[in-house]
Amino acid sequence: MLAAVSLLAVLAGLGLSYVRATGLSARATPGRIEARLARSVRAFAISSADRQKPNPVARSDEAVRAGLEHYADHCAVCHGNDGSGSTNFGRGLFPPSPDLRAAPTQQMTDGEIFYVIENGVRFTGMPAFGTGTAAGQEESWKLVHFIRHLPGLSEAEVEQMKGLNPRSPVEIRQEIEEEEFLRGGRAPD
Amino acid sequence: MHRTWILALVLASALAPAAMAHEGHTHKALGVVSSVQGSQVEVKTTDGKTIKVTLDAKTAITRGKTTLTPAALKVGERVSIDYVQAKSVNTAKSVKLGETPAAAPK
Repeated sequence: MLAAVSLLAVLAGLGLSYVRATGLSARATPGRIEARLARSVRAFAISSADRQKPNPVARSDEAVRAGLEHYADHCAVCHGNDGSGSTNFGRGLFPPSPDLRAAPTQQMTDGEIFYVIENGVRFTGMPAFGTGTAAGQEESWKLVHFIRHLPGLSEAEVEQMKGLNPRSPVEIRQEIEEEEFLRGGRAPD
Repeated sequence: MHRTWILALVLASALAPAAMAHEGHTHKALGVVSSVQGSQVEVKTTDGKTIKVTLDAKTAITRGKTTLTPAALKVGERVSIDYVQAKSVNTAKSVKLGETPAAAPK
């Protein structure tokens, strides 16, 4: 009993020290051990059945294209159109958005990537996008195809995605005004 | 005391995205180049103001889909500039030039 209480006290002390030392700031970058530990916990949390799920959507240009459109609209704000994670939001998260083109993501199974898209990851900025519908799941599987495609993404595709990223009505108006002005049209009021 | 902490946490969560969005926020200016001196470009904007922007090695200068060098920036060019402001210095991230190059001064 005394040992258990002591252990709890030590753990609580370590926890409080962590909070004080980091200030719970999201500016820090997770250390190698912390990152490895987090990935191991995430892998442990995903059941073997989920991990081994094959992608039921056949890979095709159309599936990748649908994934690209969905990604540009939902994911790029944090992960970047090129998957690098080098965005204002992505860099500011703790842990920062991973480079989806790199081995730690590309070595995940299709089932694991699908699971993360559908369920999110607690204590990170990754939300759960699953809607519980068959149509939603199909979209997520197409995203898996697109994430596999990211390491070979072309410049032309990145340019295409810029037109698909979410924009506010003000930004859309500014773009139209900019185009007209650069064509030699009247300056906006 | 407990409530104060919760309120502080909620406020911090609410303000964090705003603070992050502010840093590095990109401004846009449409206008006509009024002077070019090295990497310093002065633009008379469509709303009648004059702004100075600095070009750096990362500034992307384009006309349509063609990438250009800073030498393409001439007085009289119509431009759309995306820039960030830090310590009163406007640094251009991109400069888009009008479709038609400015006429050479007579």
